[in-house]
Amino acid sequence: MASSAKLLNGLGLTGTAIALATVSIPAQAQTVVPFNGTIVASCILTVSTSGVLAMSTTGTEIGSEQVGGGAAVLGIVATGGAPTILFTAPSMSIKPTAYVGTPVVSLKYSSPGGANQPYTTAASQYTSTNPLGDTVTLNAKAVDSTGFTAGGYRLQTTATCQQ
Amino acid sequence: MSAVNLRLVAAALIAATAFSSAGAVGLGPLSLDGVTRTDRKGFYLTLINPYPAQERFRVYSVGWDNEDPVARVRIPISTPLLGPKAQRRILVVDTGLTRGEEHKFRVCAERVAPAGQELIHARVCSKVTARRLA
Repeated sequence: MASSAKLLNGLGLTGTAIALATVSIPAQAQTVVPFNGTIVASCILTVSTSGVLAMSTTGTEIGSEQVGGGAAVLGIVATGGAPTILFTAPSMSIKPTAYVGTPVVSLKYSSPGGANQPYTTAASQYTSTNPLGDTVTLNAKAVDSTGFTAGGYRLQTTATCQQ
Repeated sequence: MSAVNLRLVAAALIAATAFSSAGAVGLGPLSLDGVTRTDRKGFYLTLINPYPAQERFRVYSVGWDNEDPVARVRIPISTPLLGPKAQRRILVVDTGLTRGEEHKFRVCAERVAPAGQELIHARVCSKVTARRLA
């Protein structure tokens, strides 16, 4: 021990310095803590706002863009890639029994993610440019040159999210 | 049509649409592939209820590019009830696979709602491919 002290003194090290050195370099053990996960492509569709129909001043059109009407809003949340949204040809799903007309029903929509569909009576689709989702604003209308009878009406489309 | 009649119709329309319900549903993954040695192959899909309340959903199979039901695809729990903001795994079993056959179909999910009661009927479909080894 005495010879060790002489040696240390000879190296210019003090006992305090040795103690500090041993405290600052503790014994270490390393391990990896993993967080694993798998992202699968999924899609959540949410109709955040239902559309509202109103009558035109001419009485030959009911639509969401008429005064008193309102557009519908469809929210899309996607993971794992931008899905495609398909819309069926719009139809009149509810009408008064007294109404026997043959209306022309059409749908249009747009979105920040690239949807820009003018009024169409046919089925349509688009793929968002935003891989995380999109917000689609939809408008619908029905036109009948013979007019509409009083009562409740509903225009409808089916929106399908898929790859 | 007179102005009075127009106002009546407009009032009726607004009344009719005021109770419109909104549709919502979530499903994943959007595509699935699987290989089997037998005549059947099972898949799991995850159904998501985005609603803040308990809702019942309908899960069903249709053709790859049409709306025809696919009878050989069995979904044991086809009208699951999900709690608020809950998720649930749904088992889908493709049956009747012949040797070397590749069967493509879609599985779609939507909220159970009376026909015609939603302005936008929302649904999500997964594309599924099952293949039996020769």
